[in-house]
Amino acid sequence: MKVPTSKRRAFVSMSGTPFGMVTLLSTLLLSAPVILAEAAGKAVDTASASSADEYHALVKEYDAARQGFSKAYGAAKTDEERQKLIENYPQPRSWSRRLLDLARKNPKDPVAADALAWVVTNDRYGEVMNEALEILLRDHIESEKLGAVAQALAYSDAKQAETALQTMLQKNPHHEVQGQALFALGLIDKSRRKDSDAEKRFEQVLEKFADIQGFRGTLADAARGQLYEMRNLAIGKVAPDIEGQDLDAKSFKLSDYRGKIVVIDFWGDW
Amino acid sequence: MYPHERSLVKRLKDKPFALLGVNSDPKEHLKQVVKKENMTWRSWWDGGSTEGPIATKWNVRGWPTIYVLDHKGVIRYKDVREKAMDDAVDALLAELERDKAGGKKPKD
Repeated sequence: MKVPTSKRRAFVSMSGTPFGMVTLLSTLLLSAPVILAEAAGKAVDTASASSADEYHALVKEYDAARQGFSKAYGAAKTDEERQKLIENYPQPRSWSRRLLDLARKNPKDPVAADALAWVVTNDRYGEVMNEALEILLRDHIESEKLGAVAQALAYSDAKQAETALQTMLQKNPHHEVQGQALFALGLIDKSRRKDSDAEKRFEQVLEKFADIQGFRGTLADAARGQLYEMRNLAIGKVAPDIEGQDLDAKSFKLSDYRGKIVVIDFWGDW
Repeated sequence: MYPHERSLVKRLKDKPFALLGVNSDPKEHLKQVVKKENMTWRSWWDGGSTEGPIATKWNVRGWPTIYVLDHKGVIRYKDVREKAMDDAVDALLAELERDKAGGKKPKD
């Protein structure tokens, strides 16, 4: 199993395609009893430590569980083994509850914003996420940490995602957070087929927030990509030609296949 | 997904149909998978990463991403999988047949 960088992976699994292979993997996965038992032991050890240490310990523990999964998945020899591992995938939910509790217990501590941002970016729906988002908007609306939260909300099913993003756009003083919020609002409009609203948002990103670093290059690159897709890759448009080489370095073009029904499959073996 | 694609390609081998991949794996890995999975259809090799030129131009942010084109090159369906992909392709093949039949009608 290919394991992209955490940032890349987050984007891949957040993709707008609801049945993406990577997405499927992360939605089907249930929590791992063995790993959780170990995690519970560690949580007791850190209970007396400072809230920042506790936050870092929880995040480290979650990252270790995910890495352990990827390693075991890569080493698995049979489909049965892989299936079993997927059933025991470390779900963020069990960590998000503890991080929410940590933030609740230390509302004035700067680490509360980190913990809440972790919950919203990793545990993407449900009561825990809703409550974390509510507290973030109430107590941390000016935090520079909301950029990642805005990115995550673009792909959230939470009803309040759009309102939260509008609040960030209006009240957060940081250029980067505003840009991410505006881009995320564009993605939400696009997913709801409000094309002209989405186009306006992406045009605004190009005008005001071009320099911010996004997924593939800058937010401007991302906005241009979205506008290109909406204008040239919509249903009913003639597909732009593709020219390239196959694995034997032989060149071929999409237009060579005109006259045939064509399925184009963007894929990777991961 | 590979078994479904294999069966689709096999079922429609005598029809005006093509499955074309745009692959984001390193080349050596792609070679191995094509062999192991007995892929008879072609893929463009997109430079070995998800940031390749074709995926970037097509604004692909999730994998797999699917487009289905009719015989005129018009995008007709997006992100259809398994049975939905079969149904989409069959509908377009039927449309192509109707077009051909219509084209052969003698003029009055």
